[in-house]
Amino acid sequence: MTTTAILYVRRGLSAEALKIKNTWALWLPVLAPLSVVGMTFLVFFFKGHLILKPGSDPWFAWAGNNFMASAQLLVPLFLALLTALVNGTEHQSGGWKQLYTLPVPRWSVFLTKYLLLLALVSLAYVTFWLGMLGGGYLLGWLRPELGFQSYHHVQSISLGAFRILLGSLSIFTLQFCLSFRFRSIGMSIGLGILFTMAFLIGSRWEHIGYYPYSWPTFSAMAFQAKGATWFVPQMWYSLGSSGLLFLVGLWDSCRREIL
Amino acid sequence: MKEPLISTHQLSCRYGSLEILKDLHLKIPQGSIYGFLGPNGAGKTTTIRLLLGLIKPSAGIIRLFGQELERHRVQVLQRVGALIETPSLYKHLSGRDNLEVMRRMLGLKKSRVDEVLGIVRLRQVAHRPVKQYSLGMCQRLGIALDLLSDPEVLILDEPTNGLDPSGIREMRELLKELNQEHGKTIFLSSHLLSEIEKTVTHVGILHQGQLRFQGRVQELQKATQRARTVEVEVGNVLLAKEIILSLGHAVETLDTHRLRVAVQEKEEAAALNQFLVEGGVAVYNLSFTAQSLEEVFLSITEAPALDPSAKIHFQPILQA
Repeated sequence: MTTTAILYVRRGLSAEALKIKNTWALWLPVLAPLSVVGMTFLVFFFKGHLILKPGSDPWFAWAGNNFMASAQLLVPLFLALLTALVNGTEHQSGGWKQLYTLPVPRWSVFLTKYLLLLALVSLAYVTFWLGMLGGGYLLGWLRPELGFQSYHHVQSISLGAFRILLGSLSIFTLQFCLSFRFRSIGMSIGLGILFTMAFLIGSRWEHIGYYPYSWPTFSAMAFQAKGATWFVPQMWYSLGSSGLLFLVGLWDSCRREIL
Repeated sequence: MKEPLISTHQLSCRYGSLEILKDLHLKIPQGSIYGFLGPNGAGKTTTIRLLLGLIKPSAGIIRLFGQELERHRVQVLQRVGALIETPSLYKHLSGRDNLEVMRRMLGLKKSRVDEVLGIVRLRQVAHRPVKQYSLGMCQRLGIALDLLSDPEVLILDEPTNGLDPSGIREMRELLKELNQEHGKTIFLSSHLLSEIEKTVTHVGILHQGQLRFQGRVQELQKATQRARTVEVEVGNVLLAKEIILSLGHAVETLDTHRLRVAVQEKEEAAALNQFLVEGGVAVYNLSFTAQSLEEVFLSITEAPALDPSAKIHFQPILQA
């Protein structure tokens, strides 16, 4: 039974991977994080001496800037765009009716798409992590006076990126379910923008920590907090709600009628 | 009697209060090309979606290969290839990659892609992106996708829709070849009898969610032979119509001088002429005609519903 299920998932993933050939969905997870790191790199390269205090550890400012800009705004928008692009391909081609008439269990359609997108999101985080480390060391080589070469924070930067990944899982699953269920790409991206704006506007609200679009930011803030544990509460909220949303989406996809 | 490859029993489907299908009893024999006919909105696509498990029926049972669809969905669909309306193609990929996606999904041999490209005659253009394909090529690629798993049954929803005459002819030849040389049972829907009457062996005519005729094409042709009519050109149409109606014939006014009258036997035409002349109506021309298949189809799909349990539901186009 398990072997058959794994076979369905393996075949489905292989097919899904081919579908994104020649699409933006394949390039976005690489280009988006590199563009964030690239822009921060340019700021530090040209104006680093104004940002950093002489003799201070530059990695905290460098990583903190990257983490906060991404977590507050870019991660939610990126997730909305990526999920809409991948699931939109299926909506545009009328692919659902084809997929659901194939001799594969209905759950495997939802699961393989989810896993493919999760792999793309993970690729984006790996690129982001490598870009931050590579960009920092490159600054150390090009602008030695900034002091990047004198400090090493591979572990804390890796943990910071991992925290944001977990903190954004809930947004990812929500955006995935929206774009899976509804045909309009505009709607899922639009809702993503709306939810992100709502967080930015309400960021001073005392209960904002319970709002899913704030969870990447809370996860990112742990990087700069002294004595922060590996897991902040928002990461647990994100994991839990993501699991719950996944199960609801999976259940809905199994009983979905394709009109 | 051999069990049909696809059968439905009292199949009904409703969206809210709207009843789309009522007590459908389909029987698609093995080896047939079954033309599922009906005007737009008759419920053809809904039936196909039900047969493929895309939607659930409100009532009734669907059996494919002797197995209930609801209980054995995956096993049943392994033996079915489906094309619903327009084919689901990824336009940014080449024709070959579209087939490769499906091949990977089903875990088939790599050589199968070339085989089906050969069957649908698309090998030469397989490397080109699908966005450069004509509608006919897209339809053929859609059929290639269905053939990939070498299914026993092909379920095709309006495969000739939007095609030009040469595209329709190519599709017709392809379907015949698939049936005769590859042994596929084909169930295809259309709203035009003329497009498929040369291809199909069996016909089912759906109207307002009810099956109004089901049987071999020859049975439908027999029905056309029974439906004889006489076209009469007369001086006074109103008087002629009155006389004919008083004789108990169904009559239809064609224009200011011509009437169409339903008759059973040739002798009735002679008697009709005699009564008209004796009634003071000048008869200029009287010709014996039979309804074409298309007219029979139209008469079935334009007439009100009859008893759905009857094997052949046929009604002449004339009104008494």
